[in-house]
Amino acid sequence: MSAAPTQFEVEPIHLRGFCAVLMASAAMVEVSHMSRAAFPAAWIYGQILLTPIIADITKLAQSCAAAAANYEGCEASVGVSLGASLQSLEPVMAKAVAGVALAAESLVSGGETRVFTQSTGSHQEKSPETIDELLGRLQAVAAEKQIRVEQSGRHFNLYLPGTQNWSPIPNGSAFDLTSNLVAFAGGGQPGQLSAPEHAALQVLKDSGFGSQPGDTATIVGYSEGALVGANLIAGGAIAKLGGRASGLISVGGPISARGIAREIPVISLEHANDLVPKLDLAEHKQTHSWTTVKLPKTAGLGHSLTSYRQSVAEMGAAKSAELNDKIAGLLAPGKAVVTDYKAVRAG
Amino acid sequence: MSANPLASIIKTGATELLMQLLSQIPGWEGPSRTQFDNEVRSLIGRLEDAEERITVVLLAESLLKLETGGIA
Repeated sequence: MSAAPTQFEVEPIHLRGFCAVLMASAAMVEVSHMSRAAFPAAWIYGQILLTPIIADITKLAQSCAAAAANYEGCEASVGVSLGASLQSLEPVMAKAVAGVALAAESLVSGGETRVFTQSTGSHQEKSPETIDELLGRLQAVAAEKQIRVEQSGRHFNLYLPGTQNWSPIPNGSAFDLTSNLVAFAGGGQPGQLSAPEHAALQVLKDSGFGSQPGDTATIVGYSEGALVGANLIAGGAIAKLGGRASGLISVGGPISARGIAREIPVISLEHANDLVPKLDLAEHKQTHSWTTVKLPKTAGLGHSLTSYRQSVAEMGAAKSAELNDKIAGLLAPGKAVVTDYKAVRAG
Repeated sequence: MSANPLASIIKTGATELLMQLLSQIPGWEGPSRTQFDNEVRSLIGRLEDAEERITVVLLAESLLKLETGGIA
């Protein structure tokens, strides 16, 4: 005799979908508030008003995920493999949400466009050796809305900023809403590259990366920049240039679901209250090559690069030294040639 | 009118996403549905209210910047 299928008021798969949509909404509210950073009063007032709302959206998302897990627990007595198969759906669900948003956004904007890169200057500087120095460089790159390549010997550090234009209409910077959705829905596969992915490959090529055997590149990315870096490594685009990806350092990036090969070291910094790294709904990894540095909740919004730098400064000498040891393995010491590039959409 | 239209565009995006949750729940009825709807509607209302308030402060700040910047 076989058991009758369990009937639910709402199916677990829908609950997981609600969870994904709620997380995406909360992240969208938070990152859009970043565009007010140049207005200190509005910025602080917004933090005060939006932080509890974002917390409540997250709570509702967590309730949906918990309810789905409970339902699956009930179903487990009927079909053992169901829970596991739904669990594996989570990253797919997150990609599906991005795909739907991309389709809607493409109707308005026309979708992805071509991108041009142009060098804006070059200078020499000591290579970074600590996480604080790396975050400082990333902050400078984000403020200048640039991509940076730092070459020391035959090692290259590639710095990629976060999203700079949240309008659904592509205009100027390649790091915008359109490319965000393309990068999220895609995975760095040939033919599915976003504008910043094209730009990053172009500047690496222009810098000479891959022109000599043994060239290595470490990507340092914030938010969308981290996602772009993860895609380039996972999709094999870096290897196709002729060099080797030696690591990825992600700050607030939704990269957990990207299929980065096990031998490539990844360091991912995530605030407990930063929703952006949670957007892919994937488990935050902790393996011998993948280090997720979980930083405590911040007083305000958790996605700001400034607050990441502050948290790293407050993490304590022992933890900081451990992190710097790991980072040292991904960088090359000495003087570096630093070149900045603008990545601008065509048209 | 907003001094910073980008935030408004995204605010609409976020609330639109939440609104879609209310209209795209196949076959879910009963008290749990009502409670979920109420919670989402409350969040949308709070978000819209917060965004309006922030926009007022942002407008005032923008005007102050224009004045102190000598643009009149």
